[in-house]
Amino acid sequence: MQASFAHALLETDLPEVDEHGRFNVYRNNLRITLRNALRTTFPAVEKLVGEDYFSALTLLYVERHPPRSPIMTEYGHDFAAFLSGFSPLSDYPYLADVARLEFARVQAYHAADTHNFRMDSEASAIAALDIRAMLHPSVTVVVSENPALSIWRAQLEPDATPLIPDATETAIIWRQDDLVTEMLAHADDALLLRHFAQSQTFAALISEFPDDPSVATLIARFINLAIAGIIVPTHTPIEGEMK
Amino acid sequence: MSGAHSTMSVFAPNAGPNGLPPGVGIGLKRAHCEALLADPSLVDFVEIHAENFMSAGGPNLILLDRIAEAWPLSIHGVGLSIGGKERLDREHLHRLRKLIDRTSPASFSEHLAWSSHDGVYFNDLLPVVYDTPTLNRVIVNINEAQDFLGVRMLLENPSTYVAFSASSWHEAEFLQQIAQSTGCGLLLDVNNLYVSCYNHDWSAQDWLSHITLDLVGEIHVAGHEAIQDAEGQTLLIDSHGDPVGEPVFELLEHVITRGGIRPVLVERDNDIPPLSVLLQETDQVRQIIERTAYAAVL
Repeated sequence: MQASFAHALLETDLPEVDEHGRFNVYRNNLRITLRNALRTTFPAVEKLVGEDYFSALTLLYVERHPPRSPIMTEYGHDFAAFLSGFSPLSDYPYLADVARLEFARVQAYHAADTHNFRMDSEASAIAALDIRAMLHPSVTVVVSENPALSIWRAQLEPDATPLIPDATETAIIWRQDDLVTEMLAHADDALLLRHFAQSQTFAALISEFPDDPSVATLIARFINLAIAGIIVPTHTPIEGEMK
Repeated sequence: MSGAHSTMSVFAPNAGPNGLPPGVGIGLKRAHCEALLADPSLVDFVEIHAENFMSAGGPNLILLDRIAEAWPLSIHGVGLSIGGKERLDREHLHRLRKLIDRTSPASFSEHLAWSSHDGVYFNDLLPVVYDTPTLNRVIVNINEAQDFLGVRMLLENPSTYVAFSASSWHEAEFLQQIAQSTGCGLLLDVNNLYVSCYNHDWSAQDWLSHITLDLVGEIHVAGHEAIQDAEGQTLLIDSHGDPVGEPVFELLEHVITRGGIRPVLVERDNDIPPLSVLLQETDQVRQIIERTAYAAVL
């Protein structure tokens, strides 16, 4: 009974058993509540494609990618990939990147807490270079061949800086002081973000190329990312660190 | 406003068996959090949906702690799929356990419904067949949930739009049997009862005569809307987005007159109105509680 009920909920055609059209209430309810969940997570995508188009898109998405978890803030994990593969939207490749960014913001809000580096003196900054570090659990890096972050901002912030059409943008999304934040990654950040995704020390990174003139820049960027709470120590605080 | 608290002697002895106060609560919505936290005395308890607070960290859990500090808390689950064909999702039970350990709620409740099948979560409370195999499955699931979570739970009666020809049990007897076998209590949603009675042409009085009202640890009131089905017949939908209807208030009064005063929750999940509108509904509930209490004293 439940198997056929479950199957019919996601089918496009109404089951013949629905004599009074009452089963349809369940079918509609499923689609409406899931559309609303996606609308909450992807407001900029909805603005970009328009409300009606978004509704139609979510119908397809719900049927192809129904939720796998009762936690609705996790729903939409595949929405960006779905948009990339949706051929009628192939002229708008930035939509998937905007969706990635919006999904990352929701995940960042709910991500685990951790301790930040203390960066209030030169000594504490130098000490941090030898401490094993990782990306904050809230961090997502969205690499886009489009100005995805600028496009997203333009949808939700009326005073956003005008975007540069052909720019590529790498955005870092994370939670800082309990607020979800996003910024454009600096050109040298990619290396650091890759390195610390592996839980390493900064010293291990520069040991690979000790004489490289870019080391000074990397140290500066590391300190910036640590102050922002994007790179954090992997273990509970000892001297030189704080919550 | 204080009448409900000054007439404790007329409350059923087991009112709020899981610790909710026998007053009026509200389903807590994000938009109203700060206003309510600024004056917690506006309501006697609050209810949250468990699945909205299963964050690993961050500001959501800070808010949860403030809520649990301010009121007796009712944690209301919507995703456990108690009536499902499959075993309970252990991962979800762990998440619930974490939430319960963190907040020590006054009550935990779930629904007589299923919402997951074959790995898909349908985000809805879907109807179960009232037959003996389902009954036995629900009993196993509730025993498992109560053992794992370390709390006695309340089970909510559903609102349904279809009935299964395979059902061989009366819904109320089905619930009564589950409660007796598992030791769980009941969450009587009088809106759901009204909606299901209307849709299936049942009598609410008859339905209520099949359950022991002492088992009821909490009552929900909510709104519903009327639509036309494919045959042009009126179908009531548990919209959770409409004001509480007069017949639902009447049913509430009937239940607490018969069974004693219970913690009553005003539930609104969609089309959230300003807090003042919801507080008018909690006032209406208070008036009913006070009226019932005075009648009992007289």
